[in-house]
Amino acid sequence: MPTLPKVNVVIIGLGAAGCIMAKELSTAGLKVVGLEWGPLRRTQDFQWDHDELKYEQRQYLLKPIIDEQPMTYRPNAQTAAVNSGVPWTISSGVGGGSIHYGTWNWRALPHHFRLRSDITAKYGANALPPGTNVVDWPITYNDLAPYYDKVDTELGISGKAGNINGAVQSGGNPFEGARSKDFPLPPLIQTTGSRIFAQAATALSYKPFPTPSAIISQPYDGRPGCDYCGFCSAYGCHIGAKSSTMVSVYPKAVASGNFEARTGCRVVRINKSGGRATSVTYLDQAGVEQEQPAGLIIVSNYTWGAVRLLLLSGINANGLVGKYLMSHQYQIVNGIFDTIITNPSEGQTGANATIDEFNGDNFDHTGLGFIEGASITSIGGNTHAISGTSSLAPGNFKQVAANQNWGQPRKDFIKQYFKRTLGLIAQTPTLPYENNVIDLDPTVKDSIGLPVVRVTYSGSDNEKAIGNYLQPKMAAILKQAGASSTVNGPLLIPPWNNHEVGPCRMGSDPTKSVVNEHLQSWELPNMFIVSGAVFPTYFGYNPTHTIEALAYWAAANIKSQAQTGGNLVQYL
Amino acid sequence: MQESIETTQENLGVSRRYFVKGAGIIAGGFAVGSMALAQACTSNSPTTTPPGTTTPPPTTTTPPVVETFLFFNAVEAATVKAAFGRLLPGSASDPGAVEAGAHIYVDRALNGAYANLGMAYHRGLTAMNAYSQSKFTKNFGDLTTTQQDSVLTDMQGGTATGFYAPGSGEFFSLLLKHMTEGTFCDPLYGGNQNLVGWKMIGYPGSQAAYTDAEMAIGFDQASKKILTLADIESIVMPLPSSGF
Repeated sequence: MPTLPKVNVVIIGLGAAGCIMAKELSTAGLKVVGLEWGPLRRTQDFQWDHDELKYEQRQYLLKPIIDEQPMTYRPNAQTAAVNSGVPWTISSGVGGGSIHYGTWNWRALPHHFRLRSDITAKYGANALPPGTNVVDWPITYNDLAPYYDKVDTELGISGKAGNINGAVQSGGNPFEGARSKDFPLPPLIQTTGSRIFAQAATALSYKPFPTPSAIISQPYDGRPGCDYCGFCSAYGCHIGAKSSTMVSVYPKAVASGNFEARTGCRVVRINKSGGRATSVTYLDQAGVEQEQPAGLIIVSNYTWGAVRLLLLSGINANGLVGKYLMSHQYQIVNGIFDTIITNPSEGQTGANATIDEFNGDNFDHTGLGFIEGASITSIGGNTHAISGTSSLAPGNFKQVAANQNWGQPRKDFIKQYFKRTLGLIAQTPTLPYENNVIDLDPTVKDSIGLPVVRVTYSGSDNEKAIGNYLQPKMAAILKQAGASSTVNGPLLIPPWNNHEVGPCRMGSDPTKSVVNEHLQSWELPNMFIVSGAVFPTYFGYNPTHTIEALAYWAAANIKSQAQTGGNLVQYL
Repeated sequence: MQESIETTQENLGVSRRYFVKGAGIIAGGFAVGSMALAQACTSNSPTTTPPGTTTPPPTTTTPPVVETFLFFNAVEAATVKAAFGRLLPGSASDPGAVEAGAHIYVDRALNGAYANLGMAYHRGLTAMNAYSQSKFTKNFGDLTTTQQDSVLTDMQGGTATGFYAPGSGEFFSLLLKHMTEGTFCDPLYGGNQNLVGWKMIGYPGSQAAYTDAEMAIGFDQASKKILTLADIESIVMPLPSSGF
């Protein structure tokens, strides 16, 4: 096997986190190689992205990796894992999930970083549900706040601040942690559904605000502002207004002259020797095995790939790699309106509104029998003809015989209601449960004979209780808005929604975590895991902004050590 | 030249930030006022053509597709067409799945993107006709609509016999899914002919942009002139200056 010349840094996975690491480290003067399984797709490749069948129904951006690298799933260890019928969707390509994401871009609340302390102080240790291992993060909101700021500025985030240096701002989220300044870009023009939701929420004394979004509402950093075409979540952006890491930071990494991206490359192993990681073995575009030595190795895969790569490489000294998988339970309530037109096809899900009264510990949980909660956000826009009509059946909203869900009754129903629907979503986080784990499947192999990821996961009573508490409140908002009928989605869903985090948790104790506060492996000090996989607990918001902030945070430590002769210099 | 481009721009109902291919030298130099553009964006009434300009040919009318099939044989085609006619019924004045050409769409897809489902269709349609024969002594396509609904109801409920891979309920779901795709996809795929699917539900299609006014409460998305992929192909979109 040919061994390539050593570089300072190799990054595995050029997604949301990997592109930020590439930009930060290459512009700081380090020689960086990025290995990406998928292709590089530029904005012009999405010129004809207004195609629901291709992007949303046939999942053009999400499908390829699954064909070659399947995964298996079981709800618990007593059930046999299956590898068919499970709609895993994983992004591949430069930019990763930030290419197709819906762009809701949240900072976690200060509370979320001290979950165990807050809950036990307020409700007692017994409030922590059995079977969980709830901890505090090794860093605080204040530690991460400057790096959230950096994401806002460098990627281009639109929104309205709710708290600037402790002063609550009207029109923003009154519950959010303090920011040093407002967003660099004003909120997006809100969808019709968002406006309907905000009016109703205000009437019920909630404080709705524009959901922060990784879409530029005005021209910014050489990119055109959003045109509100409505082909957004699940689609690539045809003008580059969506602030993916591909259009925002990747070009700056390339311009540094210190960065080389190798796409179409499949990493199969991290090699180690003498207590450190030494190189990465991968198959190049031609399928030829290559070995890339590097001073530092950054694991920036999505949660599945990060765990799988560590286990395939025999990196799991304390047995915690793969434990405490967490995800979101999307608890959805849909409404239909007899008179109001909600224009569901106009604009994008990024341009919606949220209420945060029921997130985290923003409300008193005394006597409720559960902890935590979720943001509640309207889902106006981005609804196209196939998906919109597929989800609209009379039987979803009223008791009818099964055969009334097709034929003339179905036709009459979609004619009446396609443009008169609005959904609300609560992103309930799962707690870190001992029984929710990822490991290697003992029998199923991928296309090159390597064991695939086996996911063992289910939501539990705490998540169900949150849903039971929130769904009536969501329905009441829709009723207030004029909905003639509402329907609740399921309380619990399986983990294939691109929000999975947790199984390489960060912590301050090497026996109880996989990486330290700087995302540095306890086991191999020149390896970093920069991925949602490091979250020790979860929150009722989308994860990407926090993943990106952690990337800037981890990069700052590496840069600082490189520039000041710190411990890491010996590996470079 | 500039006038005719403006006309095209108005007909397409898009933001003035965009321009039509070949018009690069006047990019950003449109003389049309924002009010006029806003009206063009929000009105479904026919635009008036200024004197001395050429109206571009309408682009949203799909030419009729001859019912020759790439994948189905004649009996299979008749079976799918009849089933789609019951799943989303229609007529010339109130089009449904068949008028949209959803059966044409599935035929083309089975010869391409869904080639892996070919056997499922062959088996499923054969079983459908065998079950129709056993129950009503005719192929599905030759039954009365009441009899057809009865067969479909049995399939949906999983009580229709003679299906094995896919099962009858599974095949029913597949037909329903593909009927929906064929009725509501972009016409490039062979379905949604003459945009009958999108017109049915008030879907504006592949718009390049929506304005603040169009997203206000009280606006009706169905009042937009429907655009397709073929329509917006001719619009040059702005790109990031980095080239990425």
